[in-house]
Amino acid sequence: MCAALLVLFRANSDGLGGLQTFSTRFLGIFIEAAPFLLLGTLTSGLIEVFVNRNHIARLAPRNRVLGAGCGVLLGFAFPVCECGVVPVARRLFTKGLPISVGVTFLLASPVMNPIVLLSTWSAFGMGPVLVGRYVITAIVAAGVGLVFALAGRPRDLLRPAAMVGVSGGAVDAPPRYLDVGAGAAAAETGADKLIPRFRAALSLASDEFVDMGRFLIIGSLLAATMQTLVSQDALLSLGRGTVTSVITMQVLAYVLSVCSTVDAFLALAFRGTFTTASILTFLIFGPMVDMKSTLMFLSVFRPRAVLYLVLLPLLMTMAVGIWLNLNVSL
Amino acid sequence: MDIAHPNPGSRAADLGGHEGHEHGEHVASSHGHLKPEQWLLRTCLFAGMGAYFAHLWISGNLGYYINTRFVWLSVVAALVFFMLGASSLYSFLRARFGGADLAYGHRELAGHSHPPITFPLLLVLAAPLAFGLLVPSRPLGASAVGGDLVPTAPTDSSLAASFNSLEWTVVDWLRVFYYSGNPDRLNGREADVVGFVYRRAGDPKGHFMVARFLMSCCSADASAVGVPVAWDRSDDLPVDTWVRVRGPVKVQQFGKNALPVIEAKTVDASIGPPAQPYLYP
Repeated sequence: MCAALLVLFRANSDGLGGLQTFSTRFLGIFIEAAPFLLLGTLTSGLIEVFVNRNHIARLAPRNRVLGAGCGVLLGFAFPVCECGVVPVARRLFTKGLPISVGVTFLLASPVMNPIVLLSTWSAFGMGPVLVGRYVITAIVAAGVGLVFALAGRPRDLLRPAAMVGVSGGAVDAPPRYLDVGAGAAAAETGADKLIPRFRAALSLASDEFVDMGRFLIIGSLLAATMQTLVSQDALLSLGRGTVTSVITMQVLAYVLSVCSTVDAFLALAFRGTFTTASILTFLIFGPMVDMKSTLMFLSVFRPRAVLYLVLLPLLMTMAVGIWLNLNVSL
Repeated sequence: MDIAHPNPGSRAADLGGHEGHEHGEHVASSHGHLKPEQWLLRTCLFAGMGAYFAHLWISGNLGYYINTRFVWLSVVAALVFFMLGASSLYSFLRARFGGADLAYGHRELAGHSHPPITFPLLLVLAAPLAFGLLVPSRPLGASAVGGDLVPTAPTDSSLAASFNSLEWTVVDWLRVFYYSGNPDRLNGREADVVGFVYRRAGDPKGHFMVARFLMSCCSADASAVGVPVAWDRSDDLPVDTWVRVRGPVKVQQFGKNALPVIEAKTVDASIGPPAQPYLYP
């Protein structure tokens, strides 16, 4: 694959025009994605400040199968794309969310939200792509969540920073922002708390932006580099093979790291040249795992867990895509 | 370079916050506390981002980067950036003038660590501002085409909105050509299209392509489409010039494909880039 990509590389003839193109494509991704990242970090900050970890811990089912199903639906409660889902998931983990729910949420949530539903519908209409995207995403995400719940204890999977509360025992603790001077803060009521809480949410959001913004920006820089250097035509020539179309779309999804709320429109551009099953694979795999989110996963999970978090969805969606290519005419 | 592990201090800080309240204050002051300069840096960063997004919106250049139906999102982003900037400024003022005990983030966010902005991180975070300020803001042009310009099938099968071919864009012509069933019916219909000049290696003399970028969402997904133009003074036109081409269309073999070719009567090369450089599907 690397060799194939190398062959596809071609020097850009004019330096200044190339820089211009690079800058415009890079800023395009950043400007498009930044609002979603900001809304994600704000949501994350508001969850930290307003959602009691007791509630999440109590509401999330202990049963693993139910937990995985709950993780799929939880996505609709937090309308964030994959730029924003990792901070939210990290916060939910610190609130004591079970591992199966958290992993399923992490994988399914970028697709399971109203904005993505709307964008996929407007791009592809009511049809196999829309239905397939949601059904297969739910199955793959729940499957990976189950594997994680069966195979690992939280201690083995999460980086220590994300583990507070998962290990149990901390569920009774008050929200962390009240930890110091808890007496005074606890004495405050209703409206009095609202403004400091909102300020705390803003402060958390800016922390998250500093933490997560670097991945968005590095991802956008890499994606723009790929787009400037690799000839799209050469990539498209791979689009008709049973296996190459699926793998090409997975590599594209991984490298381009396009936001799940907008990837349906990008996929539309491949409609004429790539098989429908490979486009479906792009729309299912891309939101779960891409270069940008892999870097973000590293801030929550241990490296070995990140490896599984990338490989399991990769192989499962690859199998689905190739099977659909062979057996179903979409 | 601390890229992959954004929160080195948070392990101790989070565990400290978890293990007991009596340690919370100590941990927070050793890990969660940022120097005033760090808050000032954040203030500048967020204010700069907010100002950049607001500038893009006001100047109208936002359309060079994203589909204009997403403009409201950028306005929201500018507002949130300014809110984060104000929050950081508040923290700076408290850290600088309120004394360490009053430093914002210390009392209310014990156990939470604020990631410091190191120099390598600053380079990364400031990259959008650097590109935005240093590279002139311009829509995608000929150097971004990178392809054949003639899709085997355009992205949408819906026909052009109007029956009047003078109102058709470059994309409408290709749509009608590919989907109307009888492309020869296009022969003799009058075209009046705007686009930039593009040349493919190996195209015949006396011809150029009038091209537009088709953008769904943002400039990252923009791809170029074009229609060939036959014009006797074609070879004097520099690539990337914005032109308005008028003339009748004749379907004929052009390069490898049969295409609708505009046999131009007039080519106006003085129009400059249009306010809306991209077409939306």
